Amino acid sequence: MAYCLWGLIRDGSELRHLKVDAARLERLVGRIDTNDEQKIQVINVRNDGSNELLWRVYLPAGHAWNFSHGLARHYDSTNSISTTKEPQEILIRIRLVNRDGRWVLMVMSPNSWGISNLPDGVGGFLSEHWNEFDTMVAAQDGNKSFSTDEVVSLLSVEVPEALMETAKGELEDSFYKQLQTQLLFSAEVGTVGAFVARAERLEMGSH
Amino acid sequence: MLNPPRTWRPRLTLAHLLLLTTTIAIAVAYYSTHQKLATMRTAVRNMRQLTRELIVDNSYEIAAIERVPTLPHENIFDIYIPSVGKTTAGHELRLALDGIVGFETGANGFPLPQDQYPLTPGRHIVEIRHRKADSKNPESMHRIEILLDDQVVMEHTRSLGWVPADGWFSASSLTESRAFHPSQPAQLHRRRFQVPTLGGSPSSVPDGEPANGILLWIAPRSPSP
Repeated sequence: MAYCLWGLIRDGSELRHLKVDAARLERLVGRIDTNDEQKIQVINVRNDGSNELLWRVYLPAGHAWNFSHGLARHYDSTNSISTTKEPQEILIRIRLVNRDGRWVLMVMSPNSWGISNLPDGVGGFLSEHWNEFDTMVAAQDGNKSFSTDEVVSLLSVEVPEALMETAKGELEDSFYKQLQTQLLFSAEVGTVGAFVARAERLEMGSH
Repeated sequence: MLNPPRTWRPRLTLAHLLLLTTTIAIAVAYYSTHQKLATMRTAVRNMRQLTRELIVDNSYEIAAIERVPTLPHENIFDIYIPSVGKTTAGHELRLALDGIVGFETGANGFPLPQDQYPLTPGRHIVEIRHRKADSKNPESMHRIEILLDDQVVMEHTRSLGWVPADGWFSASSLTESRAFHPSQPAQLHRRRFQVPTLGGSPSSVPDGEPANGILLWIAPRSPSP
C-alpha cells in the first residue's frame, strides 16, 4: 500500500505538470479529437488571412498520403507524406510573404516546404483582396472528421465575379485566363487512393 | 457432557473494512493515474514533435532540433549543450564553407572548419543567415552570418562564384529533436551548392566529392595541453 501511495503522489505530480504543458502546447497547435481513429481529423489552428493559415491534421495508420496545392494550377505541387504503421499528426502551414519587394507563397507540410515566387501582380492581388475572395477554410470552427475515401480540401480560394474586372486589370493575361476555370488557390490532403479515384471520376465525367 | 468444538470465524470489524476500502481505493487511483500519465506523456511528446520543441531527455548529451521555417530560407536551431564532462573540454560551433562532402558519417564527413566559436553549457538558439550576392553585379559578395542567441558570432563573405549555379541541396536530419553523444560531432546543417552542366541546368556534386556550401556543426573542443 505504501508503494501505491508513493506512486500515486509521484504520478499525480507529474500528471499535473504534463497537463499544464499540454494546455500550453494546445494553444499552439489546437486540440484534435481522435475518438474515431479510422477517420481523418482536421482542425484549423490559425487563420490570419494570407499572412498565415495553419492546420493540424490527424492521419489514420496504414495509408499512403498525398498533400497537394496549387495556385490557379500554375504551381501544381503534390508531395507524398510518408506512410507509417502508426497514425500520424502533421501541421500544414500556408503563408504569403513579401520579402525584399518580392511576393512568395510558402507552403509547409511535414516532408517538404515549398516556395513559389509569384508572378508580377499576383502576390499584391492576393494580399490586397484576400478578404474579398470566396474562401473556404476547413475546420475553422473546431475539429472535423473526414472519411479516408475523400480528398479533404483544407483551403480553396475563388475570385468572385464582382472582382473579375479588377483581376483582369491587375493580373497577367495568362494568369487571368486560368481564373476563368480554376480556383485561385487550393490545398488538399488525402490518401493516394482517394486522389486517384477522384481523378478517375473527373476523367469519366469529362467524356 | 462434552462442549462442542469451537470453530474460528474471521471477525470483520469496522476498522478492517475501512482499511480494506482505503487499500482498494488507493490501488484503483494509482492504476488510473498511471494509465492517464502514459496517455498524457504520449500526447505531450507528439505535440512537442509537431511544434518542433527541443527535448532534452539526457542532460549529458547534446540535443538539437531545427525550427519550422516561417520565412523563406530560414534556418534556426534550438540546441542543448551538456556541461563539461570527463571526455570533453566543452563544445564549439564549427563552420565550413567549402570542401563539403555529401555525407555526415565518419571523420571525413566534417572538413577543417573555417571558423569556430565556443559554446557554453545550456540551451542556445543558432541561426544561419545567407544573404545572396546580386548575380547581375560581379563585384557583389555573398554574406554568411552565424548567430548565437541573436548575436552574430561568425561573419564571412564569399565572391559571386562561390555559388556556381542557382541551386543547392540541403540535408537536415533535425526535423525531430535528436540527441548526440557529447564526444561525437553533431551536424546542424549541410548545404551543398550545385554546379552548372554543359547544358546549363544545375547538377548535384557527387557525394564523395567536395563542394562549396554551408556546413554547421557542434564538435567537442580539443582539451588544452
